[in-house]
Amino acid sequence: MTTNGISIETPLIYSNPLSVFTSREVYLKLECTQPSGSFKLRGISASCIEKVNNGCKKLVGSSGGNAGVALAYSAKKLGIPCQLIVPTTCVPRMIDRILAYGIEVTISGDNWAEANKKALEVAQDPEVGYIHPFDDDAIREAASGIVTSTKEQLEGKKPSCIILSVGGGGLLGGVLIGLETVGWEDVPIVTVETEGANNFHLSVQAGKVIAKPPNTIAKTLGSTCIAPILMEWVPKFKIITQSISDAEAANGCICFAEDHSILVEPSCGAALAAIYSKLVPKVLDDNGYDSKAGPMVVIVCGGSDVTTQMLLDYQQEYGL
Amino acid sequence: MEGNKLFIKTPLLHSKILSDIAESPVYLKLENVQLSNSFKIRGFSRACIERLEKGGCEGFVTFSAGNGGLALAYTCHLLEKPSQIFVPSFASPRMLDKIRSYGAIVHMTSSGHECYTKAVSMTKENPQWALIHPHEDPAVWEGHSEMISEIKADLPEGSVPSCIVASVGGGGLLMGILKGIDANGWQDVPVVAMETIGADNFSKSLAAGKQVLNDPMTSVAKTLGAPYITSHLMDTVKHFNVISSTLPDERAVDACLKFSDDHIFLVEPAAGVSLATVYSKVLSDILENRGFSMKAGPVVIIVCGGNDINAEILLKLAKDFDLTT
Repeated sequence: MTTNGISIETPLIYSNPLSVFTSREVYLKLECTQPSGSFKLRGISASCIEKVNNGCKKLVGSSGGNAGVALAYSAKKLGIPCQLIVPTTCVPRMIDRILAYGIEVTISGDNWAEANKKALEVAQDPEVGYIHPFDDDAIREAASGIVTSTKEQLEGKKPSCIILSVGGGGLLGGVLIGLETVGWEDVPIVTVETEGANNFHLSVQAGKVIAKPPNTIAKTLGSTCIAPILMEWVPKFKIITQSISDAEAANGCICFAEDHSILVEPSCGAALAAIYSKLVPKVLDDNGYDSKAGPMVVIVCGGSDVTTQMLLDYQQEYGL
Repeated sequence: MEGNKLFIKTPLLHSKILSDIAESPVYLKLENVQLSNSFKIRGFSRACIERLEKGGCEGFVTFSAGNGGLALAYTCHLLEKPSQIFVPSFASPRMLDKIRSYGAIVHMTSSGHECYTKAVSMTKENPQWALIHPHEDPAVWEGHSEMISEIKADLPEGSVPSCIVASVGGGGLLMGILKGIDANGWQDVPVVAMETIGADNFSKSLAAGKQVLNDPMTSVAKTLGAPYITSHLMDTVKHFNVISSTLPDERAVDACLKFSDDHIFLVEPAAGVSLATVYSKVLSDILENRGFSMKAGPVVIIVCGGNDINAEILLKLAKDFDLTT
């Protein structure tokens, strides 16, 4: 298993609490142990390295979320100046994390699209490399490492399913590429979104890209729409889309902190909620798949927008 | 899991935030994401496998305030062998539930010392049950020691740590670290052995020149509450640069709180006390007082992990010590 010197190869651990809960074998791919806190570091660092190799002397991006943190971390490791142009809606806690890397942060625009427009303008300078938060071939290719490494780590076992959250589709795109690479195209994929940010689920149902504005505590699932290329890929795989409530996502976070002492954002908690809300293994069995055919793998995508106080606030707010 | 190992290689995380505070590179060995949530499974699983290879063993026994018991229970679950864990009265009910969830039988005793004596007498009377001693067993130290080889492989090539910081309960981890640095040509690397005040019998034993009983256990870092440190430690430390240091509970909890904010991991105060050497900015002095320098190389902190923590417990501890998030 190789890495690019910035992102790491993350552990795949057997989870006794989740296995006991489901009466199945459950493994967790701990992307939350990436140095920047989420799986995004794989793709973003790959994208940065590509730009630098092509002669860029500065990097620019538009995410004030986990992709922004990954970009800041990558730029710092590469020793290259970086500017993040982020909208006013950005969470101060995340901006602080980005600033801690010594990155220039400019607040501009009321939403991501406006901030992104500014970032693209800055990138008109040929020496500046623009890094998209998720819709980029290099990002998807690098994220596919999650599946290729999982295959090695499972040592001959084939999963009965892989469970993951979907926001813009950067992770999903990577997982699908990975499945093809290792010959796991027939492994069912359970995608989880919150009801207030379920554009992928809606798009798959409608057979075309739907871009509903997000309204959810899982802020980092709330991209404007999914990467269009995913609609071409979906028919080639066994994808079961699921939408859950904010309360279920929050419950996923709380239960996971209890079982594994790791804090995750609701976006990440959504994937875990598939287990804790007992969607899986039922949804596999209902769709004609054998949930006992192999281990269930949950991708713990990570994310920094969470604190212990926030978990307790969710507990109170949702009566959990 | 490779070969005969029942544990994983854990990440060595380069922490930008702690490096900025220390003004020196700080790496974290994330044993909190180890199977059973602490480093203990390294040693326990190794000891169990070795015992099984010798034959005549039907099950395993240990004594523990929690994490060792959980590591043994988990190991036995994987090896499909029964396990019995003797625990002191101060072990939390939540920890005991977790241990039972792995299929282990839990025996409650009145104190840290009694859970040890009862485990010993049970296995003497029933020799088909093998006692795995958390800190006296060389196989346990050997199992723990592998984390040092992993750290060496993950640090930039040729890099030698300025120090390795680790928490001390009974001394099993410390023995493993010393074995590990010996095996990796790092014999001179100072090892900062941290305890909380109220669970500091290693520090007291060194001062007294003999083993001191950890009684009463007054620290909130319950999982550092081993009654005695391993007798072997008193001799072994003479051959290495071991620096014993202590911090009050409040500093350990402060570090846990900051760590949860900075790195989204929840760790017990037992682990927090090692992180506190950087968060409370005392590491430089601890080293300099013994003629070492933090600038000599990267700082490596073993984040030992631990199960006796969740969001509610952490925030309650913070409140008890008047710490704010």
